[in-house]
Amino acid sequence: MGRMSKQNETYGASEDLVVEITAIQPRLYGFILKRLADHEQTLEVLQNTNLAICRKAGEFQKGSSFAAWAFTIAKFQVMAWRKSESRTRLVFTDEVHEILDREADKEASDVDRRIPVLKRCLERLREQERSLIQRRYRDGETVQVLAQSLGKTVDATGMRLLRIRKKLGDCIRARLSQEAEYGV
Amino acid sequence: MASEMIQELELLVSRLVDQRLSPAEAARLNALLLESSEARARYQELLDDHEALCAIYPGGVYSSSLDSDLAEVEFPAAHKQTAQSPRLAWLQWAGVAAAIVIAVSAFIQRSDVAPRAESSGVRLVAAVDVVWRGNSRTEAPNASLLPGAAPSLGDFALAEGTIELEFGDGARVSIQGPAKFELRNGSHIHLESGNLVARIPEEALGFVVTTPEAEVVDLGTEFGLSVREDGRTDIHVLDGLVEVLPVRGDGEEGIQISEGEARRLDRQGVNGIEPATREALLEPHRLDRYGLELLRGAVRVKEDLDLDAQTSGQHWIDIVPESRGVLVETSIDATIDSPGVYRRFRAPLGLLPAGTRVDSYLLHFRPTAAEPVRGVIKFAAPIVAMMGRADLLEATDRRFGLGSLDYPDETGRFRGLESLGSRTPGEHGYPVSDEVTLSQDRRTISLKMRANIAVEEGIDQVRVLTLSEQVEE
Repeated sequence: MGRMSKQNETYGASEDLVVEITAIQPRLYGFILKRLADHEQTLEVLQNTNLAICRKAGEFQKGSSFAAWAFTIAKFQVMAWRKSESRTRLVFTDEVHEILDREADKEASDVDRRIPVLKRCLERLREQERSLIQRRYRDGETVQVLAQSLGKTVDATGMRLLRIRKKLGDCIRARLSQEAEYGV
Repeated sequence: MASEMIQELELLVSRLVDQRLSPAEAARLNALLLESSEARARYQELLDDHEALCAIYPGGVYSSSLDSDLAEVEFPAAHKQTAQSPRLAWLQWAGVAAAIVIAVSAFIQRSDVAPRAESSGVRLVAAVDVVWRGNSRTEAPNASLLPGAAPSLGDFALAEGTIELEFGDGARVSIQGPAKFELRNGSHIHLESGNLVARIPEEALGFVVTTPEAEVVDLGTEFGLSVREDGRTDIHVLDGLVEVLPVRGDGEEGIQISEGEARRLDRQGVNGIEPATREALLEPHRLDRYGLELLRGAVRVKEDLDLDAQTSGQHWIDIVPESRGVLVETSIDATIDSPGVYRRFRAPLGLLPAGTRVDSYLLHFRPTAAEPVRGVIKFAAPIVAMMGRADLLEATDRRFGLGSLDYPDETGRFRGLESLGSRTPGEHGYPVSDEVTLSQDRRTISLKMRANIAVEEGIDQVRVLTLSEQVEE
């Protein structure tokens, strides 16, 4: 069983790796989605990224930021994907991708700041709105499924989600600027 | 005024995150982002909001919430460690973990318990061959509890099978059906009839087990109860010391029963009886016997493979134990042999090396519901390979399967795990795949099985091979 024991050595040292990988899934998803703007391709690259993280686990410097390390791997996986994928499937041209990637330099900390604020904002939603967001995000129900169960059209349901997201976005922006103002 | 453009952008982004962006809209999004820095800033902001939402509700949008569930179940020590680790401080682990717990319990509740009953703080940690019997008071909530679920307070009737409950204070109670019991609160279980074995750690101060005839009060011990329909209660002390307060009789004085002793309480009073072993009280823990350590979600052990049975209501991932201790003579291609999260199963990524001795399990799922079915399985031994493609399954049916089982042999019918993008969009509009996570400990897999295909078109199956300690019989 030389094969097994060798692999166990590599992974054995980092049992909490799985905890970190698990915890960072939504963040990696967001990170990659921003750059590919396509759900399916994002899942594909997310899987590649997870595999790469497992493969490179030994290279991770304990004590450094796991998130930063994982985002770097994701970044390379996005680039590799863009190279291998046909232009017609990609949403963004190279030019836009480059600008977006460059301008997104603070995104990790931006999202970190957003999470507690967003929780507050979620509390302020009406019950119906929050339930819709939960079904969409937590339960992963598609707009089609939501529409069916609400007895609305897909477009109407999409618009409802858009309005709730806008409400949340406004709330986040307001609270973040408040924080900045008062240095909270 | 730029706001019109921003409005358009917001609409496009909303469609993008809802997976509804058309190619024309994608091109428009690209153009907007190219020409306007304001659009780009808003795009970043909106996607950051989306990412934050995904982080708060780790769940279905990006992957299976059971990935997270895994972390919860399998690595409690690592979990605590990360909570103190400064490098993960930004993750706000506690918050994330709380969200995970909410997500997981929510999915469990959605899948089996419609009305929200009072939470008991008790968890069903294992259920083997369980059939619940409906009960007038609790028929709906407790009729189909899944491992991992938190049963509500109230009455339960277990027609057959064995369950194990874990109480918040650490007490573990196994009950074998037929049995009737009531969860009275988070540290009080009343056994009306049936067999029970309780292991009560010293920390579980105040844990109480009652029967129609007795109240068992002592702690830091392991004991078995056997209660007949007429209330007659046999108490067998397996470890430690137990104090019993008979319901009848004078009532002031408790009876002490020490390790290896047993008493019978009935209308005649209290009498010494022959002590029983743990095994006699409770069938040996079935899960152990199968080489399984933990089941969570919609997973159950099944000893037969029923390809055509119509399941009603509940959808299960069946674990069918197959041959044990089989020596692999020549290396075989495998779908998966390394930890990771998988959504594509067409190319064999792994290898089952020659010389390995394995135990085999077939996981079987008949996709009939639109909702994904999820489960976590922890094996006692490390997983060496998984076969999730029809030809790999067929090639291994004979060697690892059981002659008594009826394996599908129709060519052209789908068999295996469904890959991402393997077929045209499902009925709900976008292509979905099964999802398999093999965790770093190599013993735990989490599954999210989806029903893309009609029942008559095929079945989802994957064969799991674990390292065997047995020698082939």
